[in-house]
Amino acid sequence: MPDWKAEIINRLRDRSAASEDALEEMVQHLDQRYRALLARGRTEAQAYAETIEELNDPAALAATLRAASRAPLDASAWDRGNTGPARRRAALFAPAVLLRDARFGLRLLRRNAAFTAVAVATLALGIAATTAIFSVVYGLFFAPLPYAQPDRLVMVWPYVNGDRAGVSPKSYTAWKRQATSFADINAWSGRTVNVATADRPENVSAGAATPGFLAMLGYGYPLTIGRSFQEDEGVPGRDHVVVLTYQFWQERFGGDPGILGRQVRVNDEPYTVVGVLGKGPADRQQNKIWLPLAFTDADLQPDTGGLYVMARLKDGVTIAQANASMTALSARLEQERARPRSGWTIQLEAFRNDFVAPSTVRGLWLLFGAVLFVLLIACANVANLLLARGTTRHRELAIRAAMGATRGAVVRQLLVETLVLALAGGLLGAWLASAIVHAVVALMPPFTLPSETEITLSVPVLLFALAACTVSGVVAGLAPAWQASRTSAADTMREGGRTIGDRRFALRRGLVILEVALALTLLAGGGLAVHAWMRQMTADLGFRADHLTTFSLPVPRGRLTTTDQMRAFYGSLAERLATLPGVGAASVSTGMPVSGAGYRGQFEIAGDRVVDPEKRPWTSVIMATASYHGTFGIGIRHGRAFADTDREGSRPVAIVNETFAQRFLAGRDPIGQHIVMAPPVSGAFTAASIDWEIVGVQADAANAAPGRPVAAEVVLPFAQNPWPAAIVAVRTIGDASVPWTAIADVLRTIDPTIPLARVQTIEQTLSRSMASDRFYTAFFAAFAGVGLVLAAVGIYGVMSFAVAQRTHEIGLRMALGGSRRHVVGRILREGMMTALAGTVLGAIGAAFVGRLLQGAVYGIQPSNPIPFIAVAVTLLLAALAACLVPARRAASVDPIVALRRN
Amino acid sequence: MKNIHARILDRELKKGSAELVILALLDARPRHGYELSDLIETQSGGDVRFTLTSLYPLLYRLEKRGWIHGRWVEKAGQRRRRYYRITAAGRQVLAEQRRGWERFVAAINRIVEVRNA
Repeated sequence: MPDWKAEIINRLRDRSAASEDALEEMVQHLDQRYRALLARGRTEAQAYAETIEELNDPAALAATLRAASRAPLDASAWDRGNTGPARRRAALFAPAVLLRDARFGLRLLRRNAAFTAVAVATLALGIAATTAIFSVVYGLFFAPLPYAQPDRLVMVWPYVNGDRAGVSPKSYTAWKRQATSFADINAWSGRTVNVATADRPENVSAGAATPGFLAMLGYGYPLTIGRSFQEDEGVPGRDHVVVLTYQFWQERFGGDPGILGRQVRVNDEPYTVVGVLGKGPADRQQNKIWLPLAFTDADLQPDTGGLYVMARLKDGVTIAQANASMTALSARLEQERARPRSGWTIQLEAFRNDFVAPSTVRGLWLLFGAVLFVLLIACANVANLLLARGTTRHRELAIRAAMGATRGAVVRQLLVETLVLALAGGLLGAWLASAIVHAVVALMPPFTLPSETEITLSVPVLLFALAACTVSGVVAGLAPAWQASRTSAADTMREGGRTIGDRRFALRRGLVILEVALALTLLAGGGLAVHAWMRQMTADLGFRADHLTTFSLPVPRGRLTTTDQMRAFYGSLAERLATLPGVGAASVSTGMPVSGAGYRGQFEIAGDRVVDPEKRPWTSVIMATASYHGTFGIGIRHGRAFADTDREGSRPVAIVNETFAQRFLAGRDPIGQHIVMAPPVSGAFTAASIDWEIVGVQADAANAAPGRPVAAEVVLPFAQNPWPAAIVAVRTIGDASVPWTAIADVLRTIDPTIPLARVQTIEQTLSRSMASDRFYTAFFAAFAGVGLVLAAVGIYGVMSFAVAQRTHEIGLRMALGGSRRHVVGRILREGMMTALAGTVLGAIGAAFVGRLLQGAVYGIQPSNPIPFIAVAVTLLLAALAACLVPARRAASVDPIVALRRN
Repeated sequence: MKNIHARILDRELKKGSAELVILALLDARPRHGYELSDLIETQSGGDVRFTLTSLYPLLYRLEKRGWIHGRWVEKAGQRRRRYYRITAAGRQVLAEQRRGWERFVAAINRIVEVRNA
């Protein structure tokens, strides 16, 4: 088959005149003619000669092609007036047409590299932030849980006066026997245990669960090796088996497949390894090993306990039905009690996210809102850039319109171009998002999210990113496309393609005002969070937060049973640690500043009797050695600190903090007053109340994260009221480092099986207490910063453009005697008016954002004007900086050059 | 409009009847370019033939006037082809041209008959 296209083109002098469409039509014509001649019996040569005759007149051929190029070219225009709207739309969005637009767009973007880079980077920032935070939101709220039929899993919670309570083994066993709505029901709890392999003991978190628990969830299923617990292993005596998490197996046993059947010492007793859980969610959990929960007769006696109970609903049973049936059962069980409890109810809750703090949910949605703002600002910025470019493309678009392109076709083409931009931004954004996801995971306080939550750029997250691209592309492209489509071809051509409509500029200014307003709202959020954070950082702690290291000693249950043993163990420890070189002081206590007290008790002040025991006030209680106040540097305001004479058998004494004194002893001298309170006794739930004489008032040392209100606190002498588990604090002198070897030696001489656990400097303790606030503050501030930069870029863009467009006007003014200062002033005033308008509009958003943030970051003061003023000033300064460059450019305009150019 | 059409019609009638032929063929159904040239050639027994360089300028001209319009049509298993279809305006023109043609033929016939008589 001859190459007809080449034949035609060879006969043309001006090849650019040949429209592809017309060429194709002619090639087909020649082709058919050639075939027809062959069919009539001509030889190939004859057929060729007769066909090529048609092209014998090159002038006529050129005229034909010229005639074709005058006919409307745009496919959509061919339909005008002759087809229904649906077919017209179909042609407008035909894949081939869109592809052609995309190719054209790409060529255009390649030609304007600077414009493309700024637009793509801007969109990438917005899309990356949005995608990253969405990956967290998706993981938490929407991703399927890695369990079988997760929507059938429910938590069974007792609520006491509106607060969740633990379940006693007694209640759990009664439920298991009598509940009818559940296919399965299991209980678990957390504890820390000492795990000893050959070389060293280690204190780890362990889960203790009834034998069916892991199987009911499919937790850690499929197991890497071995099996889960069997029903008979939930019986005391047969419960010495252990299942390891994959991570613990890898870290401690090097992934040894021969681990099954081997023995591990848990709390100094031999346990047989029966299985290793599968990789994944179980490794993100605190618990490193799982033990069977076996109840002794003694466990089943008291009606208190700290179990969590989870059940799987029977098929066809709704959560409401199960709830009703459990409420009835629990009421029946309550009636069997000697003294039925009041304010005690049972509530079934869907398992999903049942352990996520409401503040986390709120904080994450707020962060998501913040990144959507960033994305919106990015879109406004790109729209602005496109509008600016649209002005310079006026002529091209006018020519298109003159050649018959409909308004729809112009809008379509510009939208496709923006989409190409957005997709490029999306690709870069997805890459950036993975970096932000890493930062989020690294900065997020541990265990904020449930272990099932996996934060990755999964397929649904990437689909979201794609949707974000598309929407941003349309949002950013709509205004410019709409503007461009209103172009009157004749006007533009007449004005030589340099016209700027006032309307267009007003639209651009409006976009910048919107950007500034959004940025201010974001900044207000970030500013409030940072302000609250700074107040926390500079809050008076009430103790000396330096050169302090604390650790705890996980003494196994049953090791320290008598008060004498506890006193002897901790007494000698504190004494010997204090004498180590480099150690200034050492103390033992059941609580400490920031971490707070582990124990709370009800009390009354002697002389202020509260008859109803339930109405007595609560206070935090810490038992501490005499060196406690000195070690932590907690000042004594009145009276005295503890002394060695405050020991067993001597008069029971107490030190209260200032808050306690103000709240419960206002107007009285606290010294010499008596607190009536049951002493905390390990292993007993109630003891008879005794009198504690207040001998001192201590400064209000923070007993929660810094900046939080200080709770009323009572400190009792450890010697008068010892406890088996305690925190050891060591204050070092000067720059001395903590003498760990010496401390370990001391510990080994007292008990070689007890490891050091939770070793933390006071700085780490403080840092952890603020981890959640730091997380949200860092991200709000970062996103606000991005918003600020984008808004500044927007102002810069608009003002530069204004200056460039008005070079002639500026030149004229200067030629007529206007001073440079005057010109600079004019540009600055114009830019700043835009920024100011945005700031005023943004103040409305800012007013709301403070109240929204209150639940997520502690200490937000939505009515404090300082952060608002600070961010508004920051924003205006950024705007000023953004205007300065174009203003200086305007001032450097040479009147002669500017006028001649016109 | 009518005046303009009448003027064009007049001029074209003098030049020949190519437009009438095209419009008449397209009145039956939409056709592509080669089909038109093939039809004209075969139906006239080879007496009338449009070459590529005479047919397409004519088609484009008719299209520009809005009497016909062409669009690319894709059929499964075939190359896409541009089909031309007569428009409502084209039909009106065709009707006028047909009447004009009849008058023309009648007039010629009368002259020829007179001579014969």
